[in-house]
Amino acid sequence: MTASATLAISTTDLKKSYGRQVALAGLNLQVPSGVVYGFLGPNGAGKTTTMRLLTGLMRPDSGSITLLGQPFDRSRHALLQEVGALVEAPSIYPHLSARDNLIVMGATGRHVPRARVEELLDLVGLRDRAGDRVSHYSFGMRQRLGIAIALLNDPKLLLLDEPANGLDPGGIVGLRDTLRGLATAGKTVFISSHILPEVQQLADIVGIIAAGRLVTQGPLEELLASQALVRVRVRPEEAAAAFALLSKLAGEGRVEIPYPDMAWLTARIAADRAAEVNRALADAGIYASGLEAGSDLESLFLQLTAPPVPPPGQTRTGALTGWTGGGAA
Amino acid sequence: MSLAIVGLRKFWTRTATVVSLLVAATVEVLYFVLVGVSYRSASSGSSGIDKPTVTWLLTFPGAFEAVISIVFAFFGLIALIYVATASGSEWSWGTLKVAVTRGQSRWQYTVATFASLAIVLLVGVLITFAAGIVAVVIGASIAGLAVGNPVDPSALAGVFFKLVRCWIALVGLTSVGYAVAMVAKSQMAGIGTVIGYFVASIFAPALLPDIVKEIFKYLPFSTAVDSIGIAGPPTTGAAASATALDPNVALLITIGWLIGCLAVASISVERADISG
Repeated sequence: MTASATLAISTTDLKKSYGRQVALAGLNLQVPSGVVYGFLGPNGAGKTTTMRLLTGLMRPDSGSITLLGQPFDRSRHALLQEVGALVEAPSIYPHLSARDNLIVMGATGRHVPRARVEELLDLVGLRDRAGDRVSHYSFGMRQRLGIAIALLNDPKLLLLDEPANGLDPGGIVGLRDTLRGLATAGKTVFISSHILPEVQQLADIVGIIAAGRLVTQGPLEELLASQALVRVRVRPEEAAAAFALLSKLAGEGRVEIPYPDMAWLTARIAADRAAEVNRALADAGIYASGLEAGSDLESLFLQLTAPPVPPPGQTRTGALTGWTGGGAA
Repeated sequence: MSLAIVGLRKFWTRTATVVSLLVAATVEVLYFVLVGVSYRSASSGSSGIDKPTVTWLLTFPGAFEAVISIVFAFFGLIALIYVATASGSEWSWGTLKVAVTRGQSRWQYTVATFASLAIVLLVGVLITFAAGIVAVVIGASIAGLAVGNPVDPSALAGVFFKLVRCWIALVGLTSVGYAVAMVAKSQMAGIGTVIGYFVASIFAPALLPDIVKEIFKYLPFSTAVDSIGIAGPPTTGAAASATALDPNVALLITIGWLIGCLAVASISVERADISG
């Protein structure tokens, strides 16, 4: 068995541009089989483009894709029949009922038995409204139907773009249970999402993309541990002394001053050492006006996808709020 | 083939399908009723009506041809718009995207979707033809004409083949709108193009120089009209046939247009980047 045979998805130097706009600048994804993989990135980072390439909706400019151990280019149709996908908004016939949508969609690709349609209506909680026109459905109900369509062929690999969009809390819990159940059964679930707490609860492995490149990828627990941060705010005139002190505690090269004007220091140090940091600063006569510790996915995401710090004297607009503009789809 | 049959489900339940058929049938009935009323008025003193033509329209077996040509004209325009709308919505609703992500061959889906539409058109032709026959009886009754025998076996065989030709002509013609909508990924592009082309095909021959008319003769609208092989009423039939293509040649060219348009649509969908 080759290494790629144990990977559900593998991409090598995947590139895609829309005119002059580079969407993917050499993406190297490695998604093991039988896991829930959270694919994260800011708007315009290239997540949707990646989903479109993985589902054959678009062709890459260069690079290669391997799905379920097979080269995607050579056996595209056969491979996609083992894949379920919800890319962007659910695509459905609004004048048909949920049941008819599933029957009509089930006629494409691999044949879907009628019993599977009824099973999925139960699974996504649409049984009571299965005969109603979808145009009368709420956004969340359409989303449920989109997920049911993705599950039609009992896929080995499930690709979901923002699957929790519009779902009520009960729907989110149901979705989480379903996806975890699929992973437990040996199937692979690849989720692109902005809802970071949801991904943190669900994903085994996380990949973060920014500006068309993968900036990190690995088991969620390891990433969170390796990226643990303690952030300290001091008076600007004390920043240099605090920097030296934190460097002793955290190690050389593990302390940054991302926002010099505000004298926030960031030390890569385990969150449970926050009290130790505070005590050391106080012992040195530096009293922190702010101290944050954590290793949540949101902090990791923001840290890895933040734009570079501008040279001294220039202002970074929007950096603190995350509204830093988009790129590709 | 099963994809085309299941695909019927998505077209039959569209409001647009029912409305299109109702509009075509209603306009057709109104047309024959108005002809009957005009004839009756003319008989009671007014003049200016072409009695041989009206007789051809309202009495069998001539009325069969009249109904088929009216089906082609009225239902044809509506069918052009309907097919362009239905095919464009595969893009706007993103349902083509689902088929592709489920591993369906793009060109097969493109052809199967058009096959579903062709079946809808066949049913539409039969319904509007039946409505036309009823309308002829009503129109003849208003006009005070003896309608003749609508179930004459010798006439019905010819009628069957002309109906089939009418259907093929409509399928060939609507494939133009289908191809435009699929290439442009847009309902509006398909609808705009087919309406423009339909109108141009009616008026252009009267306005254009002979050399251009010769070219128009081989374009989809003209070949579709000629392929049905309607002789027309006795007074105009000879004049019309002088500029028309032989029906069999026209039918072959229409089928050629159909295959060409489907090929263009399929190749375009095969190569397209699908988003949205």
